[in-house]
Amino acid sequence: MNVLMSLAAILLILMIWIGGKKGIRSFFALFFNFGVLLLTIIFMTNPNFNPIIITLIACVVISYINIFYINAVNTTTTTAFFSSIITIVVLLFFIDIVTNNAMIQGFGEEETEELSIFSLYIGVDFVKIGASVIIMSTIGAITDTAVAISSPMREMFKHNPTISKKELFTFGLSIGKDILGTSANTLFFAFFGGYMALLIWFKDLSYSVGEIVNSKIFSAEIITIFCAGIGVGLIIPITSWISAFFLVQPKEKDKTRLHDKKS
Amino acid sequence: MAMTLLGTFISLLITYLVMLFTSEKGLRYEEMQFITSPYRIVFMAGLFVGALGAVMDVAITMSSSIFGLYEKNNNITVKALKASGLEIGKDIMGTMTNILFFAYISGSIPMLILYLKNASPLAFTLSINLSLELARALAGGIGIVLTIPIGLYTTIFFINRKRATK
Repeated sequence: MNVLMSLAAILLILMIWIGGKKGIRSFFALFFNFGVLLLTIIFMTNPNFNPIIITLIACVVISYINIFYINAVNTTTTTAFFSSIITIVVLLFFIDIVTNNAMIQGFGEEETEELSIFSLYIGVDFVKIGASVIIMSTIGAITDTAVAISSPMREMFKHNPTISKKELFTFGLSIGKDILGTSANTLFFAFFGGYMALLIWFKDLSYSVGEIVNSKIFSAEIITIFCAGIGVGLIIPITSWISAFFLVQPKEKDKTRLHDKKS
Repeated sequence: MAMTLLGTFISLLITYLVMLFTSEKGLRYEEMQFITSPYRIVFMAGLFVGALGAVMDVAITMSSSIFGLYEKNNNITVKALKASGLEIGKDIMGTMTNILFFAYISGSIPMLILYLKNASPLAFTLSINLSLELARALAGGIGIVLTIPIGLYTTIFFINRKRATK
C-alpha cells in the first residue's frame, strides 16, 4: 500500500460514512475527472489539435460529470450546466487575450534547471496550453458556484411562487456575494499551498519585491488566481439570470394555458 | 474558527500517520521544485495551507446555514438540524473536493506534456509528476469531509448553549 492508495481509501471510507450513496458518487466523480484530465493531456501532446478547443470539450465533459453525475438531472442542474458552459466560453476569450499579452506561458527560469535533460522543441503551442491550464484550474470552482446558486434559487421559487423575475435575480446575486468570498479564498489558499516551496525559495534567496513580481512563475500564479476569481465572479450574475429566466418562464406559460382554457 | 482548526489538524494528522505507516512509498519528492529547505517540511506546510482554505470554506458554509435554519425557527429540534446539516454537507462535499483537485492538478499540465513529448512512459510520467499533487488533493478532500460532522456538532453545541442561556 502506498501513500496515495491509503489516502484514497480513507477518503472513500469517510465519504461513504458521511454521504452514503452520494458520497460514493462524489468519490467516483473524482476518478472520472482524473481520467478526463489525462485524456485531455494526451490529446494536447498532438500538435495538430488546438489545445483551447480540446480544453473546451474537456470542460463540457467535466461540468457534465460534476453537475449531472453527482447530483441528479433536473431544472436546477440543467441551468447550472448551461451557465457554467457560457461562463467558460466567455472566460476563455478573456484568458486567451491575457495569456497572449502576459507572456506567462511555459516554464520560468527557476524551473529550467531540471528541464535540461529534455528537448524543448516539441512543437506544442505553450501559449494556448497556458490558457487551458488557467481554465482547467477554475472549472471546479465555476461548477461549484453554479450549483450553489441555482439550488437555493429553486428553493426560494418553491416557497414563493409569486416572486418576480427581478426579485429572484437579486436573490441569486445576494447568495452569490456570500459564496464569492469563500470560493475565491479556497482557490487562493490552494494555489499558495501548492507553491509554498516557491515562496520559501523567494525568501531564502532574498529576492527583492521587484524580482518576485516579475518572476514568471509568480506572475503566472497570480494571474491564474485573478482569472479564477473573475470566473467565480462572472458566473454569479449569469447563473442568477438564467435561473430566474428558466424558473419564471414556465409559470407564465401555465397562466396563458389556463387563460386559453377559460376562454 | 474552532472547527476550522480542528478539521485542518485532524486531516494533517491523518496524512502524517499514513505517510509514517506506509513509509512514504509512492511519493516522489524528486520532482519537487524550488527546494531550499528540507523537502518534507515544505511539503507538509504546503499541504496545511492548501487544506486550510477549503476547510475554512466548508466550516463557514456549515455553520452559517445551520445557524440560519435555527434563526428562522427557534424551536427546531436538534434531530432536524442534524438531518439538514448532513444534507447540506453531502451537497458541498463532492464539488469542494473537485475544486481542490483541479486547482492542484492543472498546474502540472505543461510539465506532463513536456514529459510525454519527450517519450517518457505514461506510468512513470504520472507517478513522478502527480504523486505529490494527488496526495495534496486527497488530504484536502479528507479535511473537507471531516469538517462536515465537526462543523455540524460544534454548531449544534453552540446552539444548545444559546438555548440554555435563554
